[in-house]
Amino acid sequence: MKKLSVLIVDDSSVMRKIVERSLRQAGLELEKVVEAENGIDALKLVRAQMIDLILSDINMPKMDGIEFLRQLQSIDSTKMIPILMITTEGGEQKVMEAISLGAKGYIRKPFSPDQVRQQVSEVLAQ
Amino acid sequence: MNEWLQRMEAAANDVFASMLGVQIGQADFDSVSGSVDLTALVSLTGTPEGLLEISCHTASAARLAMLMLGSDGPESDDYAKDALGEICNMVAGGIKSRSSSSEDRCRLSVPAVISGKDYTVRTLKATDRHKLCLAFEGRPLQITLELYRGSQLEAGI
Repeated sequence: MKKLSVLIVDDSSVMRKIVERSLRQAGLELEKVVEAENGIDALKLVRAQMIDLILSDINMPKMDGIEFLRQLQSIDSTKMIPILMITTEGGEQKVMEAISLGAKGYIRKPFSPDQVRQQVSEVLAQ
Repeated sequence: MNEWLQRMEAAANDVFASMLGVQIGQADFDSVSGSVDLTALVSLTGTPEGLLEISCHTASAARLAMLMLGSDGPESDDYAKDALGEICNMVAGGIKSRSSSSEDRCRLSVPAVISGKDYTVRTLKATDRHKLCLAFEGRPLQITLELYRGSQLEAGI
C-alpha cells in the first residue's frame, strides 16, 4: 500500500499527536504527517502540498471544521481529498451537515485506535 | 447520586478508559488529599446551558498528557494544560450526549484553561451546581457542572 500523506487539523496539540499515534497503531504507513490548528492554516497547507487524507476536528477557533470542509469542496485541487471528521460535536445536524458537504465519515471523541483504523480503512477502500 | 452526577461520572469514565486506558473512581472529597492549581473550562450554550470545569494539580495534568500521548516521561506544562482542556472538552461532549435534550440544541465552546492558586470560578447567572470528585492516581480530579436555572426546564430535563 502506498504511504500516506496525512493532514491532521485540531486546535489541541495533544489531540493531533493522539490522532497521529492512532493512525500508526492502526498499521497505516505514513509518508508524512502535517498539522494545523484551525481551518485557515489547514487550507494553506493543503494547497501547498499533496495530501492523501485529512482528519479534522469541527470545533476550532478562526475557522471551524465545517467551514474548512466547505472551502475544500470549492477548490478543484482539494475537493477529492477524503476527509474524516473527528469531534465531540455529535449532534445529528452536525453529522448530516458534514456528510452533505463531502466528509467521508465521522469519528466521535473519545475514540480508540481500532475505531480510527476501521473508519480510515473504509474511507481508503472507497 | 442525581442524574447529572451519573452522566458526569459515566462521561469521565468513558474518556479515561478510551483515551488513557485507566479506570477512575469516585472519591470522597475528604479522602483525596492534594491541591488543585489547574482548571479547564468548557461552556455549554443552548439547552442545557452552563459551564463544565475540571480541576486538578498540574502534576496530575502532566500525567494525563503522558498517558494520552503514550510518553515515557512527564510532559511539558503546555501539553499538560492542553491535555486537561481536551479531557474537559470530551467529558462535556459525553455529558451532552447523555442528556435527554437533543444534541443539536447544545453547543460546546473551545476549552479554556486557568492556572494558579486561590482562584474561584463563578458564573454570573444563578446555577445548579453538580460536583464530583474522582481520584486519579491518588490525587483529586474535581469535575463541576454548573447549569443555568431555566435551561433545564426549557429542555424538560
